[in-house]
Amino acid sequence: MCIKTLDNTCPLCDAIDSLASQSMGEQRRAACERLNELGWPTRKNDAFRYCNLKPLSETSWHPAPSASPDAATLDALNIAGTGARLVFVNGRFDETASSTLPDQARLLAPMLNEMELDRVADFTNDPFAQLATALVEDGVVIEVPDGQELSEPIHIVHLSSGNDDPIASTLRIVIRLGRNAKACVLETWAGDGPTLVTPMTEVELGEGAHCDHARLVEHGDDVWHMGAIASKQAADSTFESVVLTVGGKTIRTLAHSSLDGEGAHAAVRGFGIGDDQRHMDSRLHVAHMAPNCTSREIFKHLLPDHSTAAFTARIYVNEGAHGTDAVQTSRNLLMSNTAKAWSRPELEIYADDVKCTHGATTGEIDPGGLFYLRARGVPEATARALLAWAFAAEVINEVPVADLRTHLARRILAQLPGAETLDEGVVSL
Amino acid sequence: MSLLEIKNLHASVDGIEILKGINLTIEPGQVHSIMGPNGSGKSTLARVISGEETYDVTEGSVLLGGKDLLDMDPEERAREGIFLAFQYPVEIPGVSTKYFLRTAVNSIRAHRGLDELDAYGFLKLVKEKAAWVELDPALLDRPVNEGFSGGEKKRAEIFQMAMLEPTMCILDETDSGLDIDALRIVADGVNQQRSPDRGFLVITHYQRLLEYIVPDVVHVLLDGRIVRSGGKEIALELEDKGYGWLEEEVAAGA
Amino acid sequence: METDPNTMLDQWAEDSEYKWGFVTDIESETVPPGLNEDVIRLISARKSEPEWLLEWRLDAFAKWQEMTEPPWAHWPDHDWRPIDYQAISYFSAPKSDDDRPKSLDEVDPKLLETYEKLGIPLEERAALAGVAVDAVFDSVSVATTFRDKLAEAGVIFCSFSEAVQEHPELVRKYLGKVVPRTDNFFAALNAAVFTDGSFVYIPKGVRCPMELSTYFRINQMNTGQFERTLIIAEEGSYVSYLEGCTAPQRDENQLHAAVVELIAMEDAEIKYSTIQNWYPGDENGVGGIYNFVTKRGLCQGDRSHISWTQVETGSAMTWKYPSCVLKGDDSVGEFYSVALTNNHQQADTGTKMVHVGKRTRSNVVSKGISAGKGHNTYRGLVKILPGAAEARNYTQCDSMLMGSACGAHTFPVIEVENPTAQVEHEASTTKIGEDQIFYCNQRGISSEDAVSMIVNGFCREVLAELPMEFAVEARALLALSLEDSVG
Repeated sequence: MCIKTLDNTCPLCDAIDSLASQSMGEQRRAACERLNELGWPTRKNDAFRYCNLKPLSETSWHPAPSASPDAATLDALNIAGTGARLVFVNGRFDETASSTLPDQARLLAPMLNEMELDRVADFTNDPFAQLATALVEDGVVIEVPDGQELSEPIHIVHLSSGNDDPIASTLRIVIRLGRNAKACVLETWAGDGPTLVTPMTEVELGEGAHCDHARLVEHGDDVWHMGAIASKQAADSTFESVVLTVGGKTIRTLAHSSLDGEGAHAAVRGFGIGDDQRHMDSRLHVAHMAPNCTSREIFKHLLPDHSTAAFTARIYVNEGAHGTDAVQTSRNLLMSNTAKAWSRPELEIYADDVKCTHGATTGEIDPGGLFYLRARGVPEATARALLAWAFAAEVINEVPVADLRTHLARRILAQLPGAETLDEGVVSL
Repeated sequence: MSLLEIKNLHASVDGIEILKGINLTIEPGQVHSIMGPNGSGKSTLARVISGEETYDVTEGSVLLGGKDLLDMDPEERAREGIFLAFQYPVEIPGVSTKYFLRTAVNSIRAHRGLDELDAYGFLKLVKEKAAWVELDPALLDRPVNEGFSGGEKKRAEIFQMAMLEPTMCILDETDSGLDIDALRIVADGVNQQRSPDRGFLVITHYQRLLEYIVPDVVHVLLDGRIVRSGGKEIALELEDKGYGWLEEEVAAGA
Repeated sequence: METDPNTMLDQWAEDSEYKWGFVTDIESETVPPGLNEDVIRLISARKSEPEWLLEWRLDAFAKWQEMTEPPWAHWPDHDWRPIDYQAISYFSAPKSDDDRPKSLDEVDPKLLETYEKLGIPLEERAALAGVAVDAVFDSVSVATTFRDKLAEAGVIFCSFSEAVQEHPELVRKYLGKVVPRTDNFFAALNAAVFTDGSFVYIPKGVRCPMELSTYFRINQMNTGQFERTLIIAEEGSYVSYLEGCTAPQRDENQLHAAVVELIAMEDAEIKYSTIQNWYPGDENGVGGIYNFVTKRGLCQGDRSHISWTQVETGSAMTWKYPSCVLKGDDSVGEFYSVALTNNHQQADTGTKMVHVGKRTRSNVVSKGISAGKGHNTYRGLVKILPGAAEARNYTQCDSMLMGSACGAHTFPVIEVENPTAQVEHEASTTKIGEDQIFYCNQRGISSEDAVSMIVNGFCREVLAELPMEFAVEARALLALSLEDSVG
């Protein structure tokens, strides 16, 4: 078995083999086998119709070596108010750079054989989810018992750091909240160099539980970020998740959300700003399995240069899931002649008493708004930047921690064409 | 024969009793008013008379001109002469008001053994009645109640009442959300429709409306029962003192 | 134009059985079932076709043999019966074919009787409504009226076979230009075996003096229908074309795989309206037509305009995506659709709007109604190519569900490659509210009438696009198709 590479050797498969001899033997081998069966996807695979994976499939990926975090990068990610910080480098925990583990959090590494992974969603057909299982070495398991609450957010930072070889790594985050438990979990993904990361976050919420979640993607331009988020919710629970992309080469987010108990609520949001050749690909599946659940999906992309964005989302309403209230929105702002956007907002409905709406808009900055601002004396470049920022702000405002919002705002403004004409006050807009 | 005769009417929703034995008789030509605090069962009474299926009638009877209403579907009751002016008229997207009303008018006419109104006769009637309530005829080309302001909705209800010529008109808080001018217009529309063979049941929270539609009898509804009936002076007393004293009095009497 | 709603009310009272399920007893000449090159040669020979057309058919057939039937979505509750292409008879013509009638007097009286039953007496209808009817009975045209009047205006409106004989240069120039013969599995099959259809040519600057109408009927047991329609509107011309279908009741599924091609030159406008009421199968899902149609229009010239309007109430299963390629600058494509599925019916329909030219505009309004165990799917593509500066698309996709066993699905694809384009897609799902029904009841209207009224209101924007007499028929059909589906 071997993930096909140019020179027909596969350092990655060797690594998986060696990992399998230490832990999760059967599971790793099965995942690796499935991965080889699937192969790296091509555009013929409907799930990757808009995603050019040719360079990825032509790369000979190596397992990521042990490394220490880059101090400057870490400093830049030192965001106040984000709580306990747990730092991982190339999929492995770095104790020196991390805070003390909060009570409710444990490292996955020593528990690999006991923890039941991949039980939240069926990702059998996704090669990157398979890779995430085959390569997993460590991660964070956050378990909050009934009625308890995390006293502060947990901020998980993953850095990739290699030499010249293209490296692949992954990290597993498992969040399990008991009845009426509460948690806020933040992830930041950063690092440069030719890298393939397959983030995998699994969320299980008990009755009435509440989980805020944010994933921030800050990679360099060579990074393939092929992530997934799986969630499963009992009655009256709430999952608020937001994926924010300000870096990376190709950022794929696969999100499966299953609303299993009556009255559950899920919000999956995303914002991404394009840069150069960046491609952002979001593939969402929200399943309303029980009555009276609500879901909100909103993804927005600002697309300058040659950047592209694809949004494929399906709301599935099961038979008997009456009272479903689901909204799906995709908005793209094309800021250059070479940017492209694709949207596929889909509804599949098997119940009659439901309220499902979806909307998709793609276009340039609203000329009416632009004119209005200019008529009030705002210079055109400023007006454009301001409108683009306002477009982003709707999602940014949903980010759970204030300092994280500010951090993110700065990141976006650094990339937004014309943002230099805006004053600092816009951050708190 | 009495126009409307309600005897010992009990009704509940989801097992919770809301009407606990209503007795009420309305003679032709009379205007009765029902007042009461929120949650006393006023709107329930209106909806039970007009036949909404959410409510289970557990006991009692409702007769219209001697005919048992409780056995009838809502549309049969309407054809027999019950008209309910809704507190919150529902919107029906895509269906023009004119078309909707013509279907209604002709269903009721057919029931009464009258010929269908042709387009000309219908429009003539529309024009005449719309003027009564100063309803902008342009509204009639819009979908039923869609995009109507609060006042327009209420006026449209009174206009529909005029079009359908019912024998027993029930106004469910028609005054709510109306400014004084709109209130006067609505009241004028109702007063023009008063006739010796038509009865009115005016449900309201405030005495204000009764200055314009002067009732023959005022009933006070508290917790699913009529606790007091009398002349217009009751309404004024309630205006002055609120419902609290009555509640206390009823509690003391019980 | 608004139709008198009372006409609709009158027809609501009709019985619930498939109203037009009768069989006309006309002797037909039918080729035995089966498909091979010989059958195609036979069809071509019967129709005295030129060599190039036979070659064209044979080539399509060769390609078709290499293609696979699309494993398309079919939803639960439908007992998919595979189509046995060798069990279909590919040619069937009324016997009087050799001696084609020149006027209505010469038409087989039995055939006219059939039209009587349909409630559309040809002569009356033609005279009253000024509609020329090119009636396709099974596969061969047998009656054409108002030829002279149209000829005066220079309009060619005839059966496809006739066009092949009399206007071969036009047919050869445009056939397969919009829907290539190998476009898809069913289009290729049609290209190989199509027997007849309609041909329309509107010369430069001519506004077609009447609405053109064709009534299709499937009549022979096990006879696939493979019509081919080609409409060419030259510069500055206008035509409105109506296509309506009713089919007799059968127990076996029959295949209908038509191809329609429209070409609009500079400033030309084509309006194509369809009522599709093929036999849907019974309430248990037995029988019914499989309706797999390829319809596409090419807005070739600047400022050209193609508009598709359809009301789909029939067929056991419908796959149909009337599309527009907006090539000319400032050209406009429109798609207005009502699809109603009841019992075990499934409709998978939608449109593709491909924006090539500058400032091209498209408007899509789709209304899907699902009742019983019916499934309704909107599948659509809006593609803005890089050159389509300032292109605009607005798509509205509404579903109404009646009952808890049906399904409504919306699968739009939106691809934008030009920043100055604006694309908007909106969708909503509703049910008929109990409060709405009660409100109608309280005004003396029965629940069944209330449902029909609300459904018609829901479809209003689409029905308004239909020519008047079609709109009346459409409203009646919607009401008829929904009978007994109100709980």
